Amino acid sequence: MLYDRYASLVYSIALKALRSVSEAEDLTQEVFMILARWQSASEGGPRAYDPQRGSLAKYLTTLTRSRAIDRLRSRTTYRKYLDRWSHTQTAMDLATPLSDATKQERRALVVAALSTLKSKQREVLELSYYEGRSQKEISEQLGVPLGTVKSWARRGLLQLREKLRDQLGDEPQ
Amino acid sequence: MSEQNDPLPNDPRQPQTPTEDLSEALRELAAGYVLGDLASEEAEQFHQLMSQNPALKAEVHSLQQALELMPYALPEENPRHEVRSKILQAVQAEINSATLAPVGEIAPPNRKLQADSPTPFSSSPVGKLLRKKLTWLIGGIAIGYAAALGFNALKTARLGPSLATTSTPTRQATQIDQVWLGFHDLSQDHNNALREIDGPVDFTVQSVSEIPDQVKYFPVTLATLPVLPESKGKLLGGSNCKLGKTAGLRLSYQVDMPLDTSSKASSESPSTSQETSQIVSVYQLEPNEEQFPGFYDSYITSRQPDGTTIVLWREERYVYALVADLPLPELSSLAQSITPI
Repeated sequence: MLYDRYASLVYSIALKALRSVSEAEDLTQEVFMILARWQSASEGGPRAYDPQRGSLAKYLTTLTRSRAIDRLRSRTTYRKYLDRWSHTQTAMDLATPLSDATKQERRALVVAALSTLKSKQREVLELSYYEGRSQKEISEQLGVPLGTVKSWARRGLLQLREKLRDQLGDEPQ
Repeated sequence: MSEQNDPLPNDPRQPQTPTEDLSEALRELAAGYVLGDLASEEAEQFHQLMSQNPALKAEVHSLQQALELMPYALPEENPRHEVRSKILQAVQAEINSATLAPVGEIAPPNRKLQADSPTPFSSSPVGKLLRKKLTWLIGGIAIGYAAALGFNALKTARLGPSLATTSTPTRQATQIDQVWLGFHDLSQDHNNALREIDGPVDFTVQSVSEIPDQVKYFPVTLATLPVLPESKGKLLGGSNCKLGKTAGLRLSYQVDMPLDTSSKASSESPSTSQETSQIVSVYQLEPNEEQFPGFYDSYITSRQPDGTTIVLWREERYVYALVADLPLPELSSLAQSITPI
């Protein structure tokens, strides 16, 4: 069942980003309502998608994150980051990034990959990914030069990708 | 899966991905692009580069994918149980206040289901004519909602006792639940049939003209049978079935899926084409207004939480349905190929 399968993924991301149980629950509801409308609107139609689990997880992840950041943005401003994301998202397909690893295997792989990052690299990536914070904000928050934050984030991401290379799908054509 | 021991980004790696050729500087730029930390002129230049360099584009894609895997490392948190029922309530509230606009999602049978016609069906003359008739469709849309969210267990929990008693929630809600149960019954019956040790059929026939005599629970005529053209599928046989209170006939078809590894399997050799074929259950049901409200002139499609797909429609005296584990567009196209003989 979709809700049971994905509620935890959606809620975990929401909670990580919003750091509030009630807001995270609220967002979980919002996301599943969107999914329901979307699914309903695309049933049998040209937009009907192949509900491979990986691709649905990806859809939900993206949706939850961007909605979470929307909510954070309504608290302060993260416009540039969002612009970047709304831009890159249009280029994304719904292909599954993961082959057929089970949920637990997948978790273990990603946890292991993240554990190879330096703690600062990871922290910067998380602040940026889940909370949509700009590197300038992060640099102020952590009291380190902007260039350092930039370098941590970029190298962290490159490292993460190296470790997960086997898990990633094919490049788009 | 091969182990990758060396994480250095500038180390030459297995040559299977085109991203290996990129300089480290370029890869850092790609990471910056994905992270959104490039200044706008930088980003513009990078975009330009990317449009000329497929390897760079692939690099960006792969970095994006890696970033999107991050949530899988989050500690698994679950929302409180009430959230589930709150969502269902919200869905129902939305249904209750819904306009009929979404009727455009339901195509009349004489239209291609997949047709991406920009004209909303609801605004066509036929659509307007059908509007009143199709008020219940809001309920039909609820099927999509419920199926999308997989509220199986919740519904059982809510309905189990209340169905037995005379407890009546709002009429709308009752109808929705009953519609839902109809779909649920169909998918269950189909899946149970697939699990039968002796195969999905109770009787076999030499010709479709022998079917009406085999149907126990209600009278059918040859002309009303839902028969797939021979080119679409091989008739394995039929079964009399009961879906809740609804009596039905289930015809089991073996439909060969054009897998690229095999040429179209001959319809004479079902055993050798197992991997490329699917059992499609074609139902003819006696209408039970409670379970399947009147939805003349429309195909209703639904994807069940377990992946089973259903296309349902009504003609004259019967409700028909196709149930399988096929993508909806394929199942819909099968539904359209069913013609009275």
